[in-house]
Amino acid sequence: MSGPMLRLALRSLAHHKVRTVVLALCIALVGVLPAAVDGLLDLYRARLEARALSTPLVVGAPGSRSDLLIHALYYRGEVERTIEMKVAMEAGESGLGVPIPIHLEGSVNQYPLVGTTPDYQEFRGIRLAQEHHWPQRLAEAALGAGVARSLDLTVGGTIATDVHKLHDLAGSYPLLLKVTAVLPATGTPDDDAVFVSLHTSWVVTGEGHGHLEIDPEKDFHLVLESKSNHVTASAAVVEAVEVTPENEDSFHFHGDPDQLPITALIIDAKDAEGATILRSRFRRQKDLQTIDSMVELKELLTVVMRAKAILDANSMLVIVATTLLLILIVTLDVKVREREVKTLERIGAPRGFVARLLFTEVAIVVLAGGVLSYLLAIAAIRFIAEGPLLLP
Amino acid sequence: MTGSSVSVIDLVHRHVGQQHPVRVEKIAIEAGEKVAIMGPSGCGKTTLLSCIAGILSPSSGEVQVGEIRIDQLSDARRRKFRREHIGLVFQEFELLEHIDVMENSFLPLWLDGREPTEEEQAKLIERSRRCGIEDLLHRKPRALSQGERQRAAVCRALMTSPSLILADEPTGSLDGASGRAVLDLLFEEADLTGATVIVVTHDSTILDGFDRVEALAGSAS
Repeated sequence: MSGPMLRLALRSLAHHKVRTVVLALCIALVGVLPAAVDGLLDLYRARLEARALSTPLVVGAPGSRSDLLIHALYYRGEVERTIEMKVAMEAGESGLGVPIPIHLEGSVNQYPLVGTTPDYQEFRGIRLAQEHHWPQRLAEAALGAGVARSLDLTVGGTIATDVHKLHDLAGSYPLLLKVTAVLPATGTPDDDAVFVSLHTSWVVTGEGHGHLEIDPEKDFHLVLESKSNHVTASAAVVEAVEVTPENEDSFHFHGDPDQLPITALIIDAKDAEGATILRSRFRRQKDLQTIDSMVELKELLTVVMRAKAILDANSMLVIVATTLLLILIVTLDVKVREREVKTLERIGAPRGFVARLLFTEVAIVVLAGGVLSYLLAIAAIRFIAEGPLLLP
Repeated sequence: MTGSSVSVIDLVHRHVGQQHPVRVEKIAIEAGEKVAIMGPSGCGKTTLLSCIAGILSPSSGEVQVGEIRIDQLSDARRRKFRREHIGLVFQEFELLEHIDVMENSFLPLWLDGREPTEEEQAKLIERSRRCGIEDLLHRKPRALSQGERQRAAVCRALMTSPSLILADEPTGSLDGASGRAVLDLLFEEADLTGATVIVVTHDSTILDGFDRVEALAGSAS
């Protein structure tokens, strides 16, 4: 392609601005969806795989393996059943690894409320600023970077948990959480979660609670049943919605601590041998299932890729249709520009010059549309990538 | 640069679908001559000019420009010969609307795949001054009057300093004064370069300045 031809092509495109812009936009719009989907899938695959690699062994109740994976690693969705806390305790007592229980049933402003132990911080390598500390006491919370930014909260702020059981006759109240840490942004699901101690999450889901002392003599209208060592009160007893130094001691959990529920258990195995032994032990227990995160993730991604293949086929059809339309437009354009073509021929344009000129114009439009498509896709990917992981 | 002689002998050209072919028995034009070709409508004036320019290939007969038998050249060589040796002026100017006057003038060079040299640029500016369109070089054709457009078309035709200038009804779209001015300009340039000028016209009021007039009979019969 010679300089003069390129100049002629550019002049012609500039002269027919509307046509040029519309064509480039059409090409950009046709290309942006597959490009953005490709880019986003690559990004998400990388993120998901990184998370799975750093969390290789997960234990939960029998049920959907992919649900357990998504629940334990990405804090999305629910598991069908919980497991008991004693599973974590036994794993810890084995000395083969550090058990990191996950109790994820509540939420804060629709963000997942993750109850876990302080071991989680070390497991994920989370470094906190000097005045921040991982939540250890009741009603303390660490906010993911995305949550803090979205809710405009920082250390010292407070936020209430969401109420999920509005019609629960036993009473269900929000708990006011005090922010003790904001996690640094990592581009992982941690950015969009709120972390609390296991005890806090159990209070939120009603496994434990705090309320004023009831004197059966004075508060007889609140008492349903009174035995020598046990008083059953009605839901009219106002539960504490905020943990204060005055009421902190009133919080208590009914039942055996070993039997308190967790929704998943992450195992930070000491070494490969420890992981193998623990995996083997868990597999022998019928009320547990163990998943290898990478294996499960690859199976999950295979399903996603099958769906993407359908989208790719659809995109290919749209691209073919657009190409045919482009050919039609160029053919009609030659008719419209018959006078210009005739002039060039009469002045002495070499054979094929007009065809090369038209090809150059089309190439420039396609290139411009392609670049625009790429830029739009990059913008879309950046915009979406800054949001939460698009998982169910 | 000197002009090219032109010789046409027993030319016959049959347009596709046309019942009667164009016939020209003999025309001989000396190098540097200014010749008007006249004749009634449909007699084949434009066809003759197109055959001399190599735009059309005659069905039979000889067309010679200088030492070159145009009718025996391949299409590609006729195009190249036209770009390098012939300047064409058309009745409807035929300027490209999306480029300015200067770029229109450079078009014959661009079609050859090259940019104008500094000398060629200087010549264009000098010529545009003589044509009175020096200040219009960066305007698009639609911003010019009819007379200005035809002067721009003359500038383009002369860009390669052709040895033969062919003009097809160059004054047809202009008023009398503008038409005369364009012809004077062509003659002036031809005098400077020694180029041969052949003008097809049906207007007998513009014949001043031509060396002679060739009359084509109504030969399409």
